[in-house]
Amino acid sequence: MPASLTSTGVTYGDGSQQRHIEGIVKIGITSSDAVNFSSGSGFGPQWQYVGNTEISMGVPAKANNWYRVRWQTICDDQGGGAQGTGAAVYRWTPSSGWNRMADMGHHATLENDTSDLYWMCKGDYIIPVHPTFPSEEHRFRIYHANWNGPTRINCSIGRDQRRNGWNNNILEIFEMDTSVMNTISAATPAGNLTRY
Amino acid sequence: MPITLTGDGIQYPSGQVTKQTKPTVKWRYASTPGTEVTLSTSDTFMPGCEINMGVPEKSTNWYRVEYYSVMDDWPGGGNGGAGASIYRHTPSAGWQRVLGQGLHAQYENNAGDFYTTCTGVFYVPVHPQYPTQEHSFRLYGMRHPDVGIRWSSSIGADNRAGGWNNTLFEVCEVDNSTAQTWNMTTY
Repeated sequence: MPASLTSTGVTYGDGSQQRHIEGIVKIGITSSDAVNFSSGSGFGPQWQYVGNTEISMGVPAKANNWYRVRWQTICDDQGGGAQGTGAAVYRWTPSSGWNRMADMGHHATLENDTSDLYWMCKGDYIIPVHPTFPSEEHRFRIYHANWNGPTRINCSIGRDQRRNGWNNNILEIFEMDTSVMNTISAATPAGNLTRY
Repeated sequence: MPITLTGDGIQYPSGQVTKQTKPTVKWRYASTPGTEVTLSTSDTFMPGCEINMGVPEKSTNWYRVEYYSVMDDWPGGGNGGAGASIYRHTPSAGWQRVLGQGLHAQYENNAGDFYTTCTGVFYVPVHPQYPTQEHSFRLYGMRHPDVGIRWSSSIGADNRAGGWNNTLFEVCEVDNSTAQTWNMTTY
């Protein structure tokens, strides 16, 4: 059956119908090569770039699109005492430079001297196209900060199978067409999120 | 070049041709209702977590593989953890362990009774030698070292229903004209 254009959408050869625009405009994927990376041992914000997590998503297709960002890594406390870590997403355009956009905090995952512990740190973020520079290239990075201990991320672990660029972490960015985002109101076309 | 409706799909100015609604996503739940999966020191298949994605649309596509489960040290005491592995199958290649988190990606050292959620997102390429063959995927796990680990845990006040047993396994074929990898290569 050939593809056909109907009054309600497109019918493909396999019989499936598409009635709306596809929501995913573009996907960018990378995995940091900074195995066992630690962003330090002190208190307070000490955001450090997690190597090779920079993704260029190019110029967004629409000024009011959104980026869905997912970051996941595996963490290990190194030594005793309370320790924690957390991730932040940075956005870049040529005119704005690098800006910290969304941030869990430096102990979004934390253990209080519970002896050796491994855990998964995961974040999902919805980041807008830069409202002032929507026609510029957009790039993204992941930074981490530690709290009170040298927590390592992107861990090497016995019997892991890190290969071909994948190192126990993933950064995945979807550019999402604004028309498929939750539109509770025209003023805030992504639920209760606003643009910045 | 304008957008055109071709004999079998839509051709966009970029040259991309869409031949079906996308993406192709398939889910499976661990098929062990009320039964805990105790992991061994070698990879253990999570019953039910096998997905046949058919023949990939393109040899250069990627599969986005995701899992989510609830983990418990069992019966408790000692130190222990677990991690997941992803296996890929084609008829000519057989089952291959392609990516693994390691045997204690979640781990506690005798911290008392311990429950946690474990998850992972992986991008696995179409097999470069057998791109015209059916591709299947499986979820495995392994544990380390002293204490037993159960995934797909049954827990008081849970609501496991419709085949869902506290574990989700999802595979999505992603068109490479949409997805760009920055440092990951094929294998």
